Amino acid sequence: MQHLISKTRNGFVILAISLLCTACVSGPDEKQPEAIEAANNALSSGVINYSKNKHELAITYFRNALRDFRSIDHQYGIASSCLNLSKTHLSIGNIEVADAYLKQAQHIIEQENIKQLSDHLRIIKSSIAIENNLLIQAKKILEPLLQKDNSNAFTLAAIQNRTRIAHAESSDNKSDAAQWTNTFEQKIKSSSGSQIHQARLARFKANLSDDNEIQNKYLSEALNIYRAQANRPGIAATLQEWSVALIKQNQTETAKDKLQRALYIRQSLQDRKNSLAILNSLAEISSDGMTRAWTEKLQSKHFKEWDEFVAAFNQFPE
Amino acid sequence: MPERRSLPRTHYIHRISYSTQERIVGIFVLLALFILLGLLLSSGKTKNLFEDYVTIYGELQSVQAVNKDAEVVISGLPAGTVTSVDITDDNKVILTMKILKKYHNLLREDSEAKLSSFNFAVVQKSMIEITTGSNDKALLKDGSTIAINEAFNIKEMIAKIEPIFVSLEDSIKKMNNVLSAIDHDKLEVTLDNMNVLTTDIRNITQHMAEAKGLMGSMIYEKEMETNVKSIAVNMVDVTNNLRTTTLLINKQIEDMPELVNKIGPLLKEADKTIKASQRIWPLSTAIGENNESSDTLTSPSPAND
Repeated sequence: MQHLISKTRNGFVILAISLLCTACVSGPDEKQPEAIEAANNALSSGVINYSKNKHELAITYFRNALRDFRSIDHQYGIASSCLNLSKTHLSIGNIEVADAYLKQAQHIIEQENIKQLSDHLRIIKSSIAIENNLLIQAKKILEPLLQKDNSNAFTLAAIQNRTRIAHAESSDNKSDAAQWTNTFEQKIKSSSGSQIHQARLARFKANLSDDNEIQNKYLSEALNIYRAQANRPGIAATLQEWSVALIKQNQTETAKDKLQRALYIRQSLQDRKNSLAILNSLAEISSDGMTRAWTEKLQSKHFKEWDEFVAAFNQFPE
Repeated sequence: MPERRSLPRTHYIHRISYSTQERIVGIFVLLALFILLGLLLSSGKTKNLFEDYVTIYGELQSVQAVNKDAEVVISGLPAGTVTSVDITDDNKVILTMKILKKYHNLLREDSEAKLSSFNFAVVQKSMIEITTGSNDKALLKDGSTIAINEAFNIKEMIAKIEPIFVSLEDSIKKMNNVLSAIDHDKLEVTLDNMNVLTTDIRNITQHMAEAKGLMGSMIYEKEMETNVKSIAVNMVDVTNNLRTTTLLINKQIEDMPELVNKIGPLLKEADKTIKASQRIWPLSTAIGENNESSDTLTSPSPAND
């Protein structure tokens, strides 16, 4: 009996020693100075808020990070902050401000030869060019990225932007749009793209089709995905595109409803450019005097601050 | 058995010797004498019994209420008494003052004497006040004479009051002029207005008494009074509660900086521990790294698409 106990005890000891030996402990990360850590934390907080569509808050964090990085002459940090600020301003339709921050980032990236940020820079630069309807320039910007046979997120983003360009030019060449849409679909499959990419693909497909039912099917599919993900820009963009399709089908009342819903989302996103675009669309199709009057009022008034617009918009439509 | 008779117990005085009795009597007599002597020495009249005196003479124009035994005071200190009051052939009054020798050095050539008399009243008491002289002046010699300023008398008083009566007469004359200048008709109108005003005030007061109107209700209505009282009581409670709450909050706020200071390092330590745990296998498989917070760049997906 005693022999059995002794054997069991020895077994436990051997097991404990072997477990201790197999437990791997890696060393801690190299500790960064507190100033850099604080600035990086601000950047991270900004990114989190950006992903939650809290653009104003994200801008505040990015500005703080930029100030902190500038105070220690941290060029990589300054470039990152400027890129983030550029993208956030682009998201809310402040194209001029976005362009200004992008130029600052580009200057630092080129001067300091920061290769890690060059792909990010190209994507944002191409997006700004698309927003400014500079499609040829946008294509040139994207070329280096498209030539790479990578399956990373940058390549997928580059293909997405290239497909947008093709669709913007689809009135001249629809086959090119179809080809890029197909490329985009293949890339989503090969690089396991997200649900948001699937929704974007559905919108591209809807735009390619001339059949109302197919358009409605794809747009409905995209809207459902975006709603499930609570992706505000996606929902608003789908509603806007759907309203265009409905206007072509002469369903102006339904189109008006979609535009108004999209307008509420753009307003909550503080997206000035798209808000005004929707108001223009509403003014074109609105048959009732009230909506037209309001649309004209909101468009004609030069709001100094976004808050003024929101205050006026809160009463729309009566 | 014959009955035992108890003998009466004799006083101790009968059991002590005669000489002892004499000694006890002597002790009592001496004790009484000592007490008497003590009382004599401590009394006011005899406390300066063995003190030396100097004699100073004071000269007065009239006797007034000065009498023998009148007190002599030097700078507020009782320094002696008037021992005699004499009238000279030329009708001057000479006071003989016995002043304690210990105060003699206060009496100098420039010392002034004054008769303070309360002879108007029933008290009939006079006092000679002498001021202390300058140190640089010579001492008043024993037996020297000092002029005494006389007390306030009726003549002087009338002389002082007379101008007051004159100015009072003037004021009355002026008042008379003012009153004569008032227009009686205007005064009548003013009085009429005053009368109306008084009536109005009476009406308002009456309304208030009948609990009419806001003020009346506030002052006379019982229900309102009860409500106001109840509100006041509640207000006191509320104020007390608020005070307590404020005190508590203040205390909490005072502790806040300390708390924050303590929490900061604690969170850092917790963060370090979590990060360290993430590096230890097999714990790292259970605690995943938080990649969300480490991203410093937004996702590459095109913005606003």
